[in-house]
Amino acid sequence: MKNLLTIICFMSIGVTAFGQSPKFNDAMTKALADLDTCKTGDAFVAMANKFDRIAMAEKNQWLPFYYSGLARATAIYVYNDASKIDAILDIAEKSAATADSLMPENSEIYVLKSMILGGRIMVDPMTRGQMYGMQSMMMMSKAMTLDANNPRAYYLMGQSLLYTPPQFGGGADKACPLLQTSKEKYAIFVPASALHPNWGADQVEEALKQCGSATPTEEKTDK
Amino acid sequence: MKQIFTLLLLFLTVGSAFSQTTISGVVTDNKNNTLPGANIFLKDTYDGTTSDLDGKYSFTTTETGKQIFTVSFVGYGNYEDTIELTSGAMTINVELKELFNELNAVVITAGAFEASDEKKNTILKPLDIVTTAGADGDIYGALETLPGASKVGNDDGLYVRGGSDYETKTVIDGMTVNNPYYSTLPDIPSRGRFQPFMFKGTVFSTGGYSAEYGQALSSAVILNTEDMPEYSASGLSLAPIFVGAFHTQKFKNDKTALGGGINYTNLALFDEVYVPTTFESLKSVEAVEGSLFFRQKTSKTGIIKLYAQKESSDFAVRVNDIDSLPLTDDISLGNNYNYVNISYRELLTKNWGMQLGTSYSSNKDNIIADGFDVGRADQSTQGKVAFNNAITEKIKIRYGAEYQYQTYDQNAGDILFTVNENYAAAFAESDIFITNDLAGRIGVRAENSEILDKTNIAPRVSLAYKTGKNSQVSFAYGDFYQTPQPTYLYTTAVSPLTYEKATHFIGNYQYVTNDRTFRVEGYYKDYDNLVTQEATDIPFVNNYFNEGTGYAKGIDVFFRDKKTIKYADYWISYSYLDTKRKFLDYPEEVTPTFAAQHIFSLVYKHYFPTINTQVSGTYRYISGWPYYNPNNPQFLGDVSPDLHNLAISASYLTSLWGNFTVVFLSWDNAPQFDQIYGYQYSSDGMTRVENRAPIKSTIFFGVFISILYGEDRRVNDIDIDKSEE
Repeated sequence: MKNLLTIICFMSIGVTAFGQSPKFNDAMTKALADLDTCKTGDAFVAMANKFDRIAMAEKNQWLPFYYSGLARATAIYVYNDASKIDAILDIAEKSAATADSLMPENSEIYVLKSMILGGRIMVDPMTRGQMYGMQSMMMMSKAMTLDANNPRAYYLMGQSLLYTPPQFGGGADKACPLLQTSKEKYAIFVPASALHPNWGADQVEEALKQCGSATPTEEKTDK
Repeated sequence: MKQIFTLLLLFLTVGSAFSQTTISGVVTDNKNNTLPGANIFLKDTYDGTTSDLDGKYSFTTTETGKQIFTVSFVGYGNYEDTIELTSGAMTINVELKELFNELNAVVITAGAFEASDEKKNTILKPLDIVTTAGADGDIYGALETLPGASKVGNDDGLYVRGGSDYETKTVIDGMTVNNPYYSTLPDIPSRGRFQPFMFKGTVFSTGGYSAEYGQALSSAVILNTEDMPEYSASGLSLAPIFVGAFHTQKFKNDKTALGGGINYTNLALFDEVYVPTTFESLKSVEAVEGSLFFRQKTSKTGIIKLYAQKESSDFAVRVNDIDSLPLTDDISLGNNYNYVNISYRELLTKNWGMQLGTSYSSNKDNIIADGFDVGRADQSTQGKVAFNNAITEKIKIRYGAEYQYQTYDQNAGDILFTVNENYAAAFAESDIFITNDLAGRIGVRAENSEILDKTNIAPRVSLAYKTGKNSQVSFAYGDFYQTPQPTYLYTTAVSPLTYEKATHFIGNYQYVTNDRTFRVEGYYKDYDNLVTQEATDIPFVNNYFNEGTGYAKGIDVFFRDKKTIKYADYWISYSYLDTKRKFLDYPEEVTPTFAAQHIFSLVYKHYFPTINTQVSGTYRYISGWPYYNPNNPQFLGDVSPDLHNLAISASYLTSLWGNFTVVFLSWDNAPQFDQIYGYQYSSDGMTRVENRAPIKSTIFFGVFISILYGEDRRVNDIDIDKSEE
């Protein structure tokens, strides 16, 4: 009897210590695992809806709003349909704004805002490239100043420079040092909790493949 | 102990079996379309799901009792219903009601092409105008590739749907512009004064335009200048015929911007290489132009805009005198032009906006022909106020008034003719969105001209109906009045003159997606009270009346495709025009000298990413214009030969000293087509001269460098070392 009571007490301590209920932790953990398996645009939108439900039920947690925005910001690349972009990103923008109001001056949220602005370029690159490209860059710069150790900020800025023509200030020579820095930051990054953003390490490896030969320390010498 | 555990376990399992409910159903809209991707859930719980491709959903919940069942989907109103959860299965089919959203609603398009960065369903963007081969960066050169519009021969001005060039007006920030083209002499080509990148939006109306504008029988080119620049920048333009520089300064407060530019043009080198064939150049065109702009944000929603341009140019030519060959005439033209446009707009309340504007322009042409002064000058001062209210979400009204004071002077040797005009107008217009798919616009415009001493009232009505997700039909009807040109007003009329009038009937169908546009438009214009002239005993002096009539009808087709060929963007436009009119000295209703029956344009642009170059080509076919042959008893019975033109241009994007640079090359009439615009006969009908472009084929070359300042440069300066601390 005494043991049972101790167990119950521990459980209630668990609830108050993190300000997040076990229910929230469980639901978010499962949702994040599901997010990793998404393959289609519809799947990402369904995950965004799931995070929306958690967000609306909890009301004061920024993470589900953040992930809802992230899922939609990713969905547009999978759909690859310019006519869907603005409508989807409009919702993502609202999610990011709510996340920002709950957790201001947060580096990850500014990374998300930058992704949303950059996504809009795809609708009409010739006309939108300059305006949204610049706004996206400024958000990413802010993300970097808020947390100099955020590997995602370096990865995404490097990624976007890789696809910007040199005439507009981009190119591999500007992008690759950022991608390399990002990789190093991923190696030492520790998220604040298991639910905090921790994505992108695989993607930066993929992007670095465009950067030419391996660094000397990785060369294998013949014996 | 064991018993308690078993009891606990039993309690838990029995408890959960009691409170499990499965809710399923289908989500549709009010038109019975299924909605995939909708979010279905119990409010304040995590439980719910997303509807699939068929709009179907199903989820299980362990919640019990009263819950608020909610369905949400962007663009539709939320569905909420309090339900009682008992275990088992429930079916709830949901019908969502579409919200009114102006961005997705039908747009009234009859008679208008919109080229704006903001509007979703745009036909042409400002960047398209600049990259069109043959346009040479001239707004009107690019508008010419749209159906319904054409330049005619060497004339400046746009001729729209069988209307003469004076029937098209240019409007900047709501105010009419008196001299949108550089001053020139007959048969010497000119171009528009204003640079395309000044403008954030262009609406080219080929008829049926809003009650807000008037004094144009055929069409309006409605331009809106950029609000705030994105960043501070400098630019440099270099070409064998001109050199120019501009600077834009955006202040740190993000509310103020100031800038200006200066341009110097000299065609001496050009005339050396391309010797004009239809006249002799005595002094090549030389021009100096300065411009200034200022922007001040007065609040979150208000802005003051100022634009000023000052220009001075001169040139002189020698032309053959057709009535007494081999004699020649020496003509010189010196021009001074000033233009100021100030506008202020502000949101007075959430639903009530106000725009104020004033403009001043003065244009003076000193023209001396063989020592005889035929100079002219005009001045215009204008003030305008307009309001727009959103009375409800679906009903908007717009209304305002404007006043113009204009003076026109014409020299004839020692005699000076002057005409002053006080013009006042008021308009009111209402946009009504009956549903998301059906919209109507009804408006009225009233004008008063002091010199005509008459008032006119013009109704304008249009309707648009969305026939499908990407398609719609649109109609427009309206009366359009225009005061006769100053030339006809200098001498006191024998009988009082009145407004010229055109009544438009327009209908169109268009299909627009992100990558493709198809549009077909039919129109009928009825002309009345056109100015007619009768010769008097005194040479060059005529009596003028309003006894002219006419009609113009036709079909315009436009197709644009940005998708089919990778990196390519092309559009095709075709116009069929059938028009006859009696005006000026025409003895009867005939097809006028500026109307071609068939016009076809193909504009093709292709981007080559590996060499950062965009190549574009414009092919144009015009079926010939009527010309006057005194030997033909049928007035204007002869038609000039068919006209073909092919212009090619290439823009190479690179960087000079780290600054964005465009190297531009264009070749007009590359295949060297023989282009005859018509013939001019001597008074005795014995001699005729070809009317053609002064230069058959030209090559233009220029370099444009743009230097950006400000926060965007930080991208290059990211201090990687610092971040590794």
